[in-house]
Amino acid sequence: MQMLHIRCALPQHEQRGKMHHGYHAVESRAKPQAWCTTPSRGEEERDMTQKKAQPSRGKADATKQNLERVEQLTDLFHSLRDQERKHLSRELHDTLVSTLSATKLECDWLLRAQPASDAESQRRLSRVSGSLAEAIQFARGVIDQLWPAAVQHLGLVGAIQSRLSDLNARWGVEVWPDVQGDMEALPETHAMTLYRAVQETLRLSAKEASAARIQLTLRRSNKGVELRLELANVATRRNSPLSRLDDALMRERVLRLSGEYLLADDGQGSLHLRLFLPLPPRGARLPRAAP
Amino acid sequence: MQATVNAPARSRRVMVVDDHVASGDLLLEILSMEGYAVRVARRGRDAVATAREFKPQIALLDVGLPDMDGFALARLLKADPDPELQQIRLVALSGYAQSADTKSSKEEGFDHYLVKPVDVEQLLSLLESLS
Repeated sequence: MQMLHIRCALPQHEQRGKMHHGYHAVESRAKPQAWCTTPSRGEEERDMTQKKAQPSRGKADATKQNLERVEQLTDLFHSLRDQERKHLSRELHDTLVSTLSATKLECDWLLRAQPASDAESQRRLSRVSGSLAEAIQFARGVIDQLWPAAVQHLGLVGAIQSRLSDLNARWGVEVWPDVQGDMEALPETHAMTLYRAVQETLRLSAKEASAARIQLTLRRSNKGVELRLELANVATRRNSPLSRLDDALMRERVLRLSGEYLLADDGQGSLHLRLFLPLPPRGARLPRAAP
Repeated sequence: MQATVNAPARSRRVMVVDDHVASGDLLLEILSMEGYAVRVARRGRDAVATAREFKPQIALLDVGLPDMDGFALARLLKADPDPELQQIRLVALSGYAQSADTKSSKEEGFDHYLVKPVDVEQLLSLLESLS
């Protein structure tokens, strides 16, 4: 019996496997390679039964087309979601934060002009100024979650450090950042993905304040960039529907960049994130970022 | 669009570049009352034209302008052929406390950084030190 020379096969780059310690599955997905190769003329002539393979080939082609369509839709979904979030964050910044900032400046100016003898007015104006400062900080937090423009303004490391400094200043959380390698020349998509992973993981910590210690390691090698983040003694809200959605979207972002993603709690109160993004060769086409 | 108030008590000229009308106008009012000659520009390209005509010694630049970022504007001002403008002292107004520490910010030619919302006392103290 002759063998059919069908070269279409299940994609070898799909890998899903269990990690140690009972953690959630780590996933990686290499860039799709050519799924089918063309049989040589000799092979075609040798195997007359190949005609029987036509239905299977057609099925494989259809599967391939469907997968490509799913990938295109995923790209579109991410792109539109990013555009919408970017638009909202810009609107909030340009209107709400700017207005609150101007109001606080006016309030401080009034406070400065108050005579020292009018202690009651000074006390009230100070209170209003403090409330405005809190509102501005809160609005900035929301804006940063919608679209982390800080990555563009400060670079990846600056943005992460700024975020961690805020946590330290607001909640007294002990923070240990450790960065090695040049992170400034990363593609924007990679930098955004890494920052968002930090951001989303921190959000899993209830009020971001319950972590006793945050340890962050960022390493760049010839192969790619690895991010490790550990939140010690943390009360997570990982099982909330919103968190599960964020988790799924982050996983997809990483997989689209052919990376590896692992988010797990160790059962002892610590939350661990491990993310690896291979760096693309120069000139490689990356998934589109929001314009 | 520009706004201007001239106060002759001090000879220092300050240009404020902020696209948020209330913020720009308030800074104009505060600095004018402190005796500075002040002009406000809302956009980056207006700021360049204002600077060439007004020749400020100090410029307060909002980093997030609609038509160009404050870093690009800083580069333009520092690279202007007018030698007076090349001496301009640039103060960045940024929402990010970390900006002052970033290497790129220093390289863009900013001399000082103030975190928004601007603290009035801090601003006046800084301008006094530059005067």
